[in-house]
Amino acid sequence: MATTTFDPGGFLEFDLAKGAVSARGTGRVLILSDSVVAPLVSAAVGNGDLTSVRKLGRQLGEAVAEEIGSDANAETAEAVIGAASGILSVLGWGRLRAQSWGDALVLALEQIPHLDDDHLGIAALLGGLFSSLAAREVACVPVSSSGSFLVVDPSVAQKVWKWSRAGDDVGAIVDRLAPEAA
Amino acid sequence: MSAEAQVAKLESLLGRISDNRTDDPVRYPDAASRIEAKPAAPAPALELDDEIPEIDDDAKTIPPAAMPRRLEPTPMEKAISGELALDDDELDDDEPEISVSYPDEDEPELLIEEPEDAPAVELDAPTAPVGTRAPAASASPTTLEVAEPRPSAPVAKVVSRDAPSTFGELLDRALALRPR
Repeated sequence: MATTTFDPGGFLEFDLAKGAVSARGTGRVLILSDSVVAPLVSAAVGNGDLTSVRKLGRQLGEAVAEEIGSDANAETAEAVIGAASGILSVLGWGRLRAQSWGDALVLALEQIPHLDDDHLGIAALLGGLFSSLAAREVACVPVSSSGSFLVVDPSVAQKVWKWSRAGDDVGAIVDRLAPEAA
Repeated sequence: MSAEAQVAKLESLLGRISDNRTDDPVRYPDAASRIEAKPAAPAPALELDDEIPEIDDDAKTIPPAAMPRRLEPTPMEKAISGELALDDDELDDDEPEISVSYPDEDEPELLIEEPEDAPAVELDAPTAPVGTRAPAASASPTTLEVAEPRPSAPVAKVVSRDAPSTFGELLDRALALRPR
C-alpha cells in the first residue's frame, strides 16, 4: 500500500535573489526549527485551538492533490498515501505509513517531530491534510505514543480519544468499533 | 474299661435317677426343711512357723532397676493393645455403640445408641406389569433408511467484501465506524 509515485525532484525552490523558499503546490514556505515550532504548537494545544495547524494540514493536502492530479477519492489508496507520504517527508514531518485494521484506517508517522506530548498537533495536521484530500471532514486521533493515528468520523473522535487515554491499544480500540448500521 | 463295665455303670446311674424321681412337685418349704444346716467350715488358720524377718538395711539400698517391678507394659503388651485398638473407620456402623455411665454408684446406666437408619428408598409403584422376559432379538439387524438432505440453496453463505479499490472507498469504510 505504500507504493509511492511522488517525485521529490524540484519540490522546493530557493529564490536567493528574493530570499524566499517556495514549495510545489503550496507557495512560499518558511523553514523553521522544530524547537521553535514545538512551543507554538504546544501553546495552541493548551489553548484548545489548533485551527492554524489544521490549516497548515489543509495546505499540505492541496499539495498532495496537485501531485495526484485528479480526485483523490477516485485514486487508489496506495497512490494517495504514497503522495501524502512524499510531501510530508520532504517537508520534514516524518515518514507516513498506512495500516488497515479491518475497516479501520490507521496512519503511522515515523520519525515524528515532538511538538506536544500527546501528538495532538500532528493529529490536527493529518486531519487537515486528509480532510482536504477527501473533501470531507476527517479526524485523526492519536492512539499510541509512537505516532499512530486512527482515522475516524469527527463525531466519534472524542470517544476514541477517551479510550486511548484510558490505555486501550489500537487493537482494543478497533475492536470497540463496528460499521454503522445502514 | 470294658463294654460290660460301661453297661453296668450306666445301669446303676439310671437306677439312681429312678430312685430320686418323685411324682409330686417339690415343695420349697419342704425342700428347705430337708436341707440340713451345716456349720460353715472354719477358715483355715494361718500358721506361721517363722516370724517375718525384718528388712535388712542393705536390702533397702538395692537400686529400683534391680527390683522385679513392671509398671510399664512390655513390648508384646504394647503390640497386642495396638492390634486391639480400633480406629473410628474400623468400627462397624451397624453395631450399636454401648457406653456405661455411673450417675449412681450402685446402678450403672447403660446407654445404647442405635446407628441411624439409612434413608428409605421409596420406589414408585409400577404402572404396568413388569416384564420378566427380555425382548427377543431379531434375527437380522434392520437398517434405517435416512434420506440425504437436498438443499434448495447453498448451505453456507459467505459474506465478504473485496478490499477497497480506491482511496475514497477506504475512507468511506473508516469513517463509517461507530462505537459498538
